[in-house]
Amino acid sequence: MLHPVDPGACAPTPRRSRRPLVSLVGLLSLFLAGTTRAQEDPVEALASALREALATIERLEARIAALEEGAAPTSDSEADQLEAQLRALIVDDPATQPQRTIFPSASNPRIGVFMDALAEAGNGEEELGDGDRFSLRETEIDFRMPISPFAEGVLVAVHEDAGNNEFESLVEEGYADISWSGLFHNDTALRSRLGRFRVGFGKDNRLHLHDLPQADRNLATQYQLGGEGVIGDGIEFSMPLAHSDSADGLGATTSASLAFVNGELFTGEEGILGERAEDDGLEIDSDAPLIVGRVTHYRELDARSDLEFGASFITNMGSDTITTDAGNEITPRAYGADITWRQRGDETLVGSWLLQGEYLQTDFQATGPANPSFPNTDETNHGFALTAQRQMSMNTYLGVRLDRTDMLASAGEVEGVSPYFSWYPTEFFRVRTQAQYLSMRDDATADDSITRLLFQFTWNFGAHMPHPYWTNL
Amino acid sequence: MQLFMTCVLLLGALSPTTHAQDSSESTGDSAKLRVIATIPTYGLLAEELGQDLVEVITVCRPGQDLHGVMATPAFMARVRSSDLLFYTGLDAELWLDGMLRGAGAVNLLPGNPNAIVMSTGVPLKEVPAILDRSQGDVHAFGNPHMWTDPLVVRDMATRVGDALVRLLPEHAEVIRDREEAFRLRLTKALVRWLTDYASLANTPLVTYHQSWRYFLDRFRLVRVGTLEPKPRVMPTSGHLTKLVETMQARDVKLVIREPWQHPQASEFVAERVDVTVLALSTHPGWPEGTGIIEHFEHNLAEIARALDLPVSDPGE
Ligand SMILES: [Zn+2]
Repeated sequence: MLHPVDPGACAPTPRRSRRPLVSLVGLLSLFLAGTTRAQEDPVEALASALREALATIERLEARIAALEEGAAPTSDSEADQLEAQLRALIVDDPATQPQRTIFPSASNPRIGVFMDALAEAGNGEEELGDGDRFSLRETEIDFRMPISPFAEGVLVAVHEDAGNNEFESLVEEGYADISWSGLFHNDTALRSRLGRFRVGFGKDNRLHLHDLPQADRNLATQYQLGGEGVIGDGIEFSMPLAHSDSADGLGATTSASLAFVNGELFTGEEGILGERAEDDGLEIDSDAPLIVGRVTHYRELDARSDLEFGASFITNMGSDTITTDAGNEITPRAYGADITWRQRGDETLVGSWLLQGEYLQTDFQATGPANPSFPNTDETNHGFALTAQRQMSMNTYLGVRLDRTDMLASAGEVEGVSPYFSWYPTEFFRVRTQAQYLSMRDDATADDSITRLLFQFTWNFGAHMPHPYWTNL
Repeated sequence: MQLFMTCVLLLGALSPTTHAQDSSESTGDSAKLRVIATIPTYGLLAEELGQDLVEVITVCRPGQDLHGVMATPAFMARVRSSDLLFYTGLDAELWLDGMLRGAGAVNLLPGNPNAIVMSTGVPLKEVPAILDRSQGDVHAFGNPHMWTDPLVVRDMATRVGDALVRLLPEHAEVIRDREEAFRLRLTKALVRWLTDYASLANTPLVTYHQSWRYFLDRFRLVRVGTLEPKPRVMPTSGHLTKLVETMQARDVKLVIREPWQHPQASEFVAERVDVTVLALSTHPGWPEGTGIIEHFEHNLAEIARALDLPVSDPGE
């Protein structure tokens, strides 16, 4: 990744021999200037003459070095001759065009559009819901543009299928991305997101739907955090904490982020409990004020592979709990740990590997009157997802995800096996086939299993948008 | 709220100290100008002219596709608190913006005085008439792979020299002398190449991507097709079959792919047409250790050998 550079290796060696002379003369001139103020003028003149002589020596030495390499001309006319020779040999190419100043976006933001369609076949509860078998699941429009010399504005607007051909519009993200080094004209690498954003928790949770390695979010994220993951309104600070490069140029970087948000962990319209409350005609009075933190350690293992560890948490801020209109008080907490190892293939990049593991834990406490949606409980849920993905050819990837997770606010649990195959005919069009076998054990109901086949089509037009560094293509 | 403030203060307090720490780890000599180069050509020019005055970090490796660079956390950390950036501009480095923002290096974002656009003023080739992806992942402004032409690289040396002199005015003379020496060496080599390799003129060949266009035009080689049907679209057997016909009709003897381009497509045509397939990089440092001039020397010699033409002697 790094092209290690040792500037010392190409410094010309003859130069070294002059160093003692330089320091001697330097010292001499300093000494003279400092001690003999009475005779200021002649001494100063002498010192400056010496400095000039030194500069000339340096220049001459460079010239000698160049001459030794046989590169410098002995006279200017030789250089002119050479240039004339070159001009005579150059054939002008009529195919070139002078550069035009093109402003493809003038003062408009860069716009990228991502469309994600899903088709499914199989038994049991559908991924799409409401008996839909084919759906334009989501259209995401990503706008971004610098809003100042030190900040960029980002808006991710989503139009998603809520079932029965009804579409919902929502702002998935809308924030200003601020670099404090630009704001305060210093060297800090502190960065802030201000507004609404996917919070820096976990691995899967931080990705947009179209960036996921599979057709759906992993089950731990779905059943503990909710189908959309956790989005919050507030402010996030992030920065690298330490970086070092080993002698052979392999880097190790530790970075951290900390956010203060009103978030939808468990609650709100997109949160698990929020949906359940709605089904039961209950209301939850607010999103929880949350603190979200994450520490990441990234390390290059060799020229072809790297490793990333992450640990994250979400906890409620201060003593605030969330209350329902039935009087239940809920205290949300979540912890996550993830590890990603990837290896590039040969020099043509074919044959890459991606191994990823994510562990999620949620501590859920609810107090107050018993009601079916919010059992009076103190439970801890665990879940994990393991993914292995192999690049089979230039534009095809084969992978499998194994899942197991407890379900939030329920004694149920889900296990899943999801093999998938992704094909990128171009960088802007992807076809993915995913088989899924789910085995669910719910509170009251008997064991249930679901076998289904998902076909995902993702396409993108407009500007090139940033995607996570570890996803292929 | 108390916790909030504590955390903000903690982060604020961490930032200057940790920065001091890791700059001593990774930079060593803080007096040096910290230079980022997106490709090896710019990195080598900065080293050639700056030598002991600069510390250069080159992002793209000599055997790597410039378009496919990923902004990893390690690179974001490396480019932090740098003084000068050399990049192609146009749309050659789409990952650059994200890497600079991730690093908090807003002082080097495009448009800043120390972010030097190396393509400025270079007449462009292959400017698209239609701009959408029915034409593949086209370069919207035209072909940006201009560092493959030695004559363009010579002007780039001046651009690098100008930037270094502006930031290191006290070393102006020595930088200008190195620049002059480099330009002269390159000019001498170029005069010799244009003379000794004049017989390459009008030789038809096929490349993988459009990346060689400036190089080919300089030595008057003629590209009759690319293995990619359109820029950054995977070669298809339909396209390759048609290409094989063209190659037979035009008597093509040479196919060039870059080391990161998959050999499958070139093998497909090599099985059907009698051609030599060369794996050559558009970046110096490939083969390992080559400087800018040696790299051009290597590529030209390989092409001449593949065509059974005499190889130019670099001399003493
Ligand atoms: Zn290109």
